[in-house]
Amino acid sequence: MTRPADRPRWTLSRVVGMLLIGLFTLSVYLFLYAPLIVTALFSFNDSTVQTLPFAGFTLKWYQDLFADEQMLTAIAYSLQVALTAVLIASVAGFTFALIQVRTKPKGHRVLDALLTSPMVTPGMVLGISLLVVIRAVNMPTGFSSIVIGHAAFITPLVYFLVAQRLRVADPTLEQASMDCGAGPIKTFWHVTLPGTRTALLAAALLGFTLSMDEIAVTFFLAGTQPTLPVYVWGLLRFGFTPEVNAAFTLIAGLSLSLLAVAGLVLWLSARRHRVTLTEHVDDDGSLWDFVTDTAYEPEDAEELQPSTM
Amino acid sequence: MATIDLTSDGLDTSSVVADKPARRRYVAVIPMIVWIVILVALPNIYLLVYSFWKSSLGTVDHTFTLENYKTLLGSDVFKLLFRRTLTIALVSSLLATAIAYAMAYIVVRRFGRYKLLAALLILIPLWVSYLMRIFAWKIILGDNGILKGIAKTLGLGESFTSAFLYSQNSVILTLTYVAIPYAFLSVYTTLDRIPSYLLEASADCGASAWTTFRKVVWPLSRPGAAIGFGIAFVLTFGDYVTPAMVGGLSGTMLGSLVLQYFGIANNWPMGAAVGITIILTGLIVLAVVSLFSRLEAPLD
Repeated sequence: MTRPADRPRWTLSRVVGMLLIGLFTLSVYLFLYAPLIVTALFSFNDSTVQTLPFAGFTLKWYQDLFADEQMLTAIAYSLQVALTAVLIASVAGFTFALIQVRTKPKGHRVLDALLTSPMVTPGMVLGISLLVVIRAVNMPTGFSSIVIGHAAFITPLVYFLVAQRLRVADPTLEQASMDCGAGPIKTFWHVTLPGTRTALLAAALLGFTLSMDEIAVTFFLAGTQPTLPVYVWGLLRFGFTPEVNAAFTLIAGLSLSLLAVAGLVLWLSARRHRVTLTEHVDDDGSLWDFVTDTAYEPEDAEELQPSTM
Repeated sequence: MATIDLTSDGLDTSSVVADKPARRRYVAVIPMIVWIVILVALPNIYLLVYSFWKSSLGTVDHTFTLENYKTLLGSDVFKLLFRRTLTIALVSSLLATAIAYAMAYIVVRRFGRYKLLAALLILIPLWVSYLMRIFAWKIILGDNGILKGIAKTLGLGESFTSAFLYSQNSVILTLTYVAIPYAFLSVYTTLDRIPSYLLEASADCGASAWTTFRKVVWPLSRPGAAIGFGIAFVLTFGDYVTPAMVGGLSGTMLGSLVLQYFGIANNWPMGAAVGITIILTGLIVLAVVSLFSRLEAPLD
């Protein structure tokens, strides 16, 4: 029952400080989530006017949504675009990451900067710069132009995440595999890919959700057929219906469940890896490592702490 | 297709065997260079070239002229929009970086083993539709919005709500909201890398919490804050979705101008010129930021 000397005492200023920190943290989370919760709540609100107080619960907007042919067509179109773009971006981004990290070509820093630059380009700039080129080569805007635009910003993402992973991976594993007589393809399949697939999966999922709701680039590159965000954008600007709230809520729910499933898969695979690769825990501590190797951090962090009890 | 197969095959072998001939390495780089040229270099260069052409009666006149830039620099509307866009982007990225920094500091130092969960919770909004997040602010701030409803029940005057309705403030608020997760990601990764023994050592040497922050934590995390600010600035400076959604007339930004030139006005060269000014401003800010992002001494 004696208070240990090294434990901080509960002085007034300390309590006030803790309260302030707690209040700040809470309000930031509230600020980040309130808008999302508001949209979800209003998708069930029985009124065409978006204001308080709530008029009552209804599923009308969801029914309208599923009866809206144009909206459904737009969703299907967006799915097609996202899948194609992610496929291209995954192959290209993965290949580039391998080239960069494993061969370290001359001027790889410059290549790295150029390759990742679309990630920090505003969508509008990417959109209009691609548009002028596409117009110049007389390519019609539509599916292919949207896919090009999306692949242009998803590829750097895949590249970035996979390259991060490859940099901390041990190249001697691959050399060992070759020494044991495995060919390059076998080595790639059994050593390189398993070591990076979590990063690849995370990048592909992030790319997929980004593509599904991209508007800034798509707006310029879409032809006559709108993707979901472009269609919704039109609805929002000219005559809005609460149906849009329902669409947003459904899509957000879908993205987040996808994220949760991906997180679970990554976590399970990282846990399995842990058994064989425990020596490999890097203290890099970057967030992306967490995203890709969720299971490493918390437990190890605890193990490393000297037990004070 | 054949060339791509060939090079990717070359990549696999050179990836595993260190002593391949140097020539193979150069071959492996070719697909990357092709990609960069087609999707990064060419579009930007062509946009620059485009901005030196002129639109006459809907067609583009392919002779070099500085007229677009002269028109822009002589236009009061452009100057006003430029100043406003700069202010909005600076204020909202500064706000976002400050909030993200404080939040990242609290998460890293106070959340213990739950810090990754806490960090992930801040990043999750990035997975939720961009349009939805902005539109949600329209529901909150807009005509007959929630804010107005709350203000009415509390008996606050019109002046309170009109400050946040279709104005510059509503754009700043929304862009700050959008930028926080990006800034947080950048700050968090640098703060999390600072080993706690450095802080303990500083405290053992008798430094107060504030001195430790000023002399140890801030110098080591400044690069993260600077890069976070840079990314936030570039992304907010070129935005046109937010001003269109919550800005109204007084919240119009340069991005809205580009949209107009590429759309209704059908004057692509002029739009390209505005686009180039946006790119240049972003590059200048990034260059300034990179001066601040250098560490005084390496961490290890």
